[in-house]
Amino acid sequence: MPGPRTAEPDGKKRGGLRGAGRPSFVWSLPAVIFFAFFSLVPLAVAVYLSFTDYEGLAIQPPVWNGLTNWKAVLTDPSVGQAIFVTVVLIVLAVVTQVPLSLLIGVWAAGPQRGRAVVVALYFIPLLMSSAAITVLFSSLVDPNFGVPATLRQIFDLPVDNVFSNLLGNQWSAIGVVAFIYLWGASPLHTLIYQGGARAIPEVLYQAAAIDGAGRFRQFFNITLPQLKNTFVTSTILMVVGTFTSFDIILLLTSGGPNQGTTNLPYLMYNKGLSALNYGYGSAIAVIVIVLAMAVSLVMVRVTGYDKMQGTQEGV
Amino acid sequence: MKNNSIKRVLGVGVSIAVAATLAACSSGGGTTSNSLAGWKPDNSRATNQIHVLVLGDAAASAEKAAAARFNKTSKVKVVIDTGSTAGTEYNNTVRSQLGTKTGPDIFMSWGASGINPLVKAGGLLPLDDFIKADPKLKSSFLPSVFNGEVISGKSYGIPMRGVAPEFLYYNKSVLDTAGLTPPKTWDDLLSDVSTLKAQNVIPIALAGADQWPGQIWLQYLYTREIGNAQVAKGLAGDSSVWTSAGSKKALADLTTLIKAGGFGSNFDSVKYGSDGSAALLGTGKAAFELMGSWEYATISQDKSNIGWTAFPSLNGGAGAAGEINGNLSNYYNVAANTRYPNTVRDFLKQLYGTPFLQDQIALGNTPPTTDAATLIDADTKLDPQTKTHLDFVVQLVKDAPSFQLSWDQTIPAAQQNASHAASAAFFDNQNVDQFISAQQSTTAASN
Repeated sequence: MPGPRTAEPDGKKRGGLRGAGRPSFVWSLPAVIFFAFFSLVPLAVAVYLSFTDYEGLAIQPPVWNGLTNWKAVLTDPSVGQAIFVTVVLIVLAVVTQVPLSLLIGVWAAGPQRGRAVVVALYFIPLLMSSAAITVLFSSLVDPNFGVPATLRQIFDLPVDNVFSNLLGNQWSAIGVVAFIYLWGASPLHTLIYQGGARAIPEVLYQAAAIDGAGRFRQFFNITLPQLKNTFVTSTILMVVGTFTSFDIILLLTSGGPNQGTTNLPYLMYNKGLSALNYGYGSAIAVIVIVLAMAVSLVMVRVTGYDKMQGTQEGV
Repeated sequence: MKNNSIKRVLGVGVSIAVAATLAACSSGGGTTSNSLAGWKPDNSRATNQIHVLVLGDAAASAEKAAAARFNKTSKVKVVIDTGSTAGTEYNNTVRSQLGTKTGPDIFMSWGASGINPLVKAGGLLPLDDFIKADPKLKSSFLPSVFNGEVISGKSYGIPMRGVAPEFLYYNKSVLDTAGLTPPKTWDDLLSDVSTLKAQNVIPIALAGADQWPGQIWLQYLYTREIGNAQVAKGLAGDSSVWTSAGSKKALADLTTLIKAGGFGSNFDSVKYGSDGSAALLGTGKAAFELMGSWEYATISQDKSNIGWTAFPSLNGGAGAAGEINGNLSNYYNVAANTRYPNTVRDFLKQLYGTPFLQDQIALGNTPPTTDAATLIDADTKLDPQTKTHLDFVVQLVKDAPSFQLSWDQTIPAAQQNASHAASAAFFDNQNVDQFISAQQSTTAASN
C-alpha cells in the first residue's frame, strides 16, 4: 500500500492543518479504551476464571485448578446437547427470519404512504423489552388459559392435541422459542432490508423495465443481487444474536423440558451463576465466544464481505 | 492542549485504580483485639451506619418499617439497601459483596446449605455471643426453625419472614360437585383422582414447567414411606437411603399417581404463579395442588373456595404421622467485618418484637416465633379466612414430629438445578434407576 506522501506525485505538502485528512491514533482512543475495558478485559477475566475454582465469593479469591474445568466441560454430555440446541435455534432463526424480513423489507421500501403506517405498526416489537414479550407469550401458550385452551373450545379439539403441551416436548418448545425470536427480532432485520432496498438506484429498475423485465424478474435479478451486503450484515447479526440468546429461554422454559431448550448461554448461566461454579461457567463462556467468533469469521470469508466490494460498480 | 487533556483523563483513571487497590488492601486488615468470637471489624466501613441488604420483594416492607422504628432511637443508623427480587441474583450480590467495606452488615439467607460456603470462608459472625447477651434472640423462635442455621454447634442466623410448610390445597366447590371430601389417606387420593377425571377436571394442578413444584410430591412420598430422619440422612450424602426398598416404594407410589393421570397430560407446559397452576386451582379447573403456604397469597381468585389439609397418610409407610416438609423460614445473617456489632445485635431484637411480627402477619406470613398463634388470634385486621389459614399453618408446624427443609434448600446450592431437573425428569419418564442415581449424585457433595 502506498503511503499518503507518495500518493502525491509532486511531493508537495498540502495546505491546511497538518494531519487533518487522516486522524491520528489518538482519535480512536475513546473507542479503543471502551472496547478494551468492556470487552477485552472481561474476556481475559473469563479465560482466567475458566482455569480456576471460584464460587463467586469476594472473600475467597479464585484458586487455580489447571485444566479441571476444561476436562469436565469437554466430557459433559450437556455441553454437546447445548451446542446442538444452539445450532438448531440459529438455523431456525435464519430460515424463518431472512425470507420474512427480506420480503417485508423490500415491500416496505416502496413509496406508498399506507405502507409507512403498516410498517410503523410492524416495528412495535422492537420497542418492547424481550422480557415483557416472553412473559406475554408464556401466558399465551399456557395450555389451560392461553391460546391452546381457546382453540380447543372453538374447534372442539380433544383434550390432548398438538397445541395442548407446547412447552412439554423438546421440538415444540424450541419452536415456541424460535417463534418469539422471529416475532421480536424480524422487525430489526426488516428495517435493515428496507434501508438496503431504498438504496438501490431507481435507474436499474427503469432500465430493466425497458428491457421488458417483470416484477419477479426485477426482484430476482436486481433487488436480490443488490442486497447481497445487506443480507450478509443482517445474517451475521442474526446468527451472533441467536448464539448469545438467553432471556427468552430463562423466562419461558428454564431450559426445559429435560434440558431440551438449554442452549450454550443458558447452560453457562445454569452451571456458572446459578450453580455458583464460576470456573465451569467461564469455560462454557469461552466456548461460546470462540464458536461465535469462528462462525462470524467463516461467514465473512465465505460471503466475500471482507473484500469490501460494492454492488453498484458501473452504475 | 488536546494531548494535555487526554493525559489528565488518563491520570484520573490511574489514580482511581490506585485508590481502589489501596482501599482493597486496607479492607483486608483489621483489629484483632475484640470481645466477640469471630468478629473481624473493618474500621474503613462507613461511620455511624450499618447496611441491611433486603430481598427486594413486597415482603421487605416489614423490614423497612423495622429499620425506621429502630432509627428513631439509635445513634448508629440502619440503612436499607434494596437488592434483587430474585433469590439467585440476590445470593450473587451477597457473595460478591460480603467482606468488602461496602458490603452488607446484615443480609438474608434460606438455610444452612446456602451460608455454608460463607461460614467456611470466615465471612459470617457467629451469633452465640449476641444470644448470651439477649437469650430472647433464640428462645423467641420455634426450635425446629432456629436450628435451621445452626452449623457445627454455632448459631449463624436469626429467623425472620414466614414459616412455609407444604400441604395439600383443594378447591371446595370442585370437591363438592364431585361428591368428595378432602382425602385423609393416599388411597383416598387415588380414588379421588379417578372420580375427578371422570368429571373432566384436572385432578391435581402441577407447574411442571418450573421443575421444582414436582419435587414437593417426591419429598412427601419419601417422608411417608421412609420418614424424615432417613430422608435427612439421604440428603446428607448417605447414598444407601436412595436405593432402599422404601425409596423404591415411594417412587412406585408416585408412578401410580402419574400413570393414573393425576396431574393431567400437559403439566410440563404449566408454570407456577397466579396465572398458572394456582389459577387452575382458583378457577376450579383443577381440584388439588400440593404447595407451600405461599399458595394462599398467590391465588388471585375467590379464596373462600379454597380449602387445605395435611398431606394424606400412607398405609404401611415407615414415616411417623404428621411429619412435614417445607421451607423453614428466612434468616438474617451478620457479616464478620461489621463495624458496629452492638447496633446489629440491637437491630436483630426487632425480629421478635411485636410490631415486626404484626407486619409479617399482615403480609400473610406465619411468624417463626413461639407466640405466633397468640399474635394471629389477637389480630383484628385479618379476615376470618386468612386467620384460619394462618392458624392451620401454626398448628401443622407445632404438631409435626419433624419438619424437613425442602430438598433443594438442604443440598449444596451448587446442586439445586440438577436436583430440580432430576425431579422433573421423573415426572416425565418415571425412570426409577435414573432418578436414584441423580439423587445420589446431587446429595453426594453434601458429604
